[in-house]
Amino acid sequence: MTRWNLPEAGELTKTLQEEAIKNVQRFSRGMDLIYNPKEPQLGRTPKELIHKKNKSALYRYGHGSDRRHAVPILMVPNLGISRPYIFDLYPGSSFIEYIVQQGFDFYLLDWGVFGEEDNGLTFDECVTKILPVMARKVLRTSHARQLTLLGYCMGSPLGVCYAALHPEQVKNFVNMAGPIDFKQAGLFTTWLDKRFFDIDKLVDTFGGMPADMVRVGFKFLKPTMDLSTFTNLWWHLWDEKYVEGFVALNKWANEYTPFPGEFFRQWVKEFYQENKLVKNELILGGRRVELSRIRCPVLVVGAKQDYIVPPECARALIDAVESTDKEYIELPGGHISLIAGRGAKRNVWPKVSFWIAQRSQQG
Amino acid sequence: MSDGQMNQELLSMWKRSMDQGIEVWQKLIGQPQTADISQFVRPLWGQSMDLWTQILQQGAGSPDAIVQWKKFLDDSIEAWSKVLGQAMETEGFARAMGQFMDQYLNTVGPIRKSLQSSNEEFLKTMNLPSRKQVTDLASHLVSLEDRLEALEERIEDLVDGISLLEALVKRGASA
Repeated sequence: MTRWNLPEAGELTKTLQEEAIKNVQRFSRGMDLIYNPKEPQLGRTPKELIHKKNKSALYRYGHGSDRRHAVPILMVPNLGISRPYIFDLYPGSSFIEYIVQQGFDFYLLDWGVFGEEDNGLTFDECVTKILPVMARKVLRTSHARQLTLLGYCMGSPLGVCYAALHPEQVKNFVNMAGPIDFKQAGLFTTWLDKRFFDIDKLVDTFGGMPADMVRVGFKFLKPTMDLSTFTNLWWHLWDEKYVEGFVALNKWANEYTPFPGEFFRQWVKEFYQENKLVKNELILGGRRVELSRIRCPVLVVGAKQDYIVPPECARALIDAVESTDKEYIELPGGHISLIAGRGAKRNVWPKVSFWIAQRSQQG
Repeated sequence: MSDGQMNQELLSMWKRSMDQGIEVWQKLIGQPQTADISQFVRPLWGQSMDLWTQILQQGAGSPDAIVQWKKFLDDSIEAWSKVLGQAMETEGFARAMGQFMDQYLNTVGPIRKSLQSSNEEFLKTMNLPSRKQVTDLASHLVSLEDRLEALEERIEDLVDGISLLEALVKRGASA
């Protein structure tokens, strides 16, 4: 016999009242979102354009008087897939704003949105032609001899290759959810396996990797993501702060960017299919990329529920480098939760900032 | 009929329909080795039934019912996500996706090529630059920019050298 646990009448009335108010607020905000959508103001931390090279731009954040640490930080994000304003979402929820407030001289390399004319750009050229110019500009403008390289996602393999080729320039290296051992890169490892995925045919047909195909690939990784996102939105629709965050993040999450064709070919072939980076078999600019040449302090941050770059895939850097000062931390959340959201601000940014600060005295 | 019996009955009915559905699909695809997807879904169904029973036992008017319902929704989405994840990490799925991509490219490739060539013909007739000519021009500009950048770097190095020399000369003169 089913037992019905009915609440006290007063308690039930109160709950129903609260729920009714929330529903009215949900309805009102929902209507606002549909009929009066506001364009979120993103990337508001003051910045200065330091250098531009084709589509890529180097920005310096904050003001001179606030900078307390001698070693500048150069952040290298992913090329393609998405735009880097996720790092500077909106005041109070911006990784860049937080880092600048901690007194760092912070530079961001925005790879830009590449077009058809850039389809010949390779991974090799990004590491051997674009990164050296940007690093040089960072050192010149900050009057420092070395920099801290902070790689996020695909920016980590790009940065780590640079660090292995120019170890004398890199004071510290931070890998935030960046893939290193591509044998452990989750679903992408299986899907991009050369037995099933013909990268040459794709690039030869389209010239590049179109943004729409990038979107499909990422949506496939977690098909229920949109459903859970919108369920959560409905649940929190009464909460103004949540909706503000959602609008900003949703704009970013739906703005996919294409890959230059040759870059994508090299990325899939040499990284996902042949896993050359961790095997020290990668040749860039005629030089072998040996991760063991990295001896500077290394911090690797993995996210427990990261299905794009599983934690073990990022963690592999710890075993590959020769550094004596190296640390791995695994934090709750997914790939994006490391860089945006309340969890990131509480769990990740202070740890990363503290680790870098302790190693930011010019030697 | 008790709740447990009813759940069992529903579960068996659902499992029968799943098995029959999978059989039909296997015949259609002609791949008897297709993974038994129902093995992923069965535990999920069981969990759902348990959760619903729990919610019903709490009473629809319980203050926790709405929270429970949201939790159920989240758990269901998460469970489906796991089920789909398990199905998608198989080589069978990767192979199927690869085949789909291959067929798609086989279809799209020639269409794109013929569209491009007819567009180029049209633009040529109209005495207008083609897309390829514009992208070639852009690439040319990029290479010019690279050369300018290299020059800029050399000038910066020279300026650095000159200021260093100046400083040395000044130091020498004052000594």
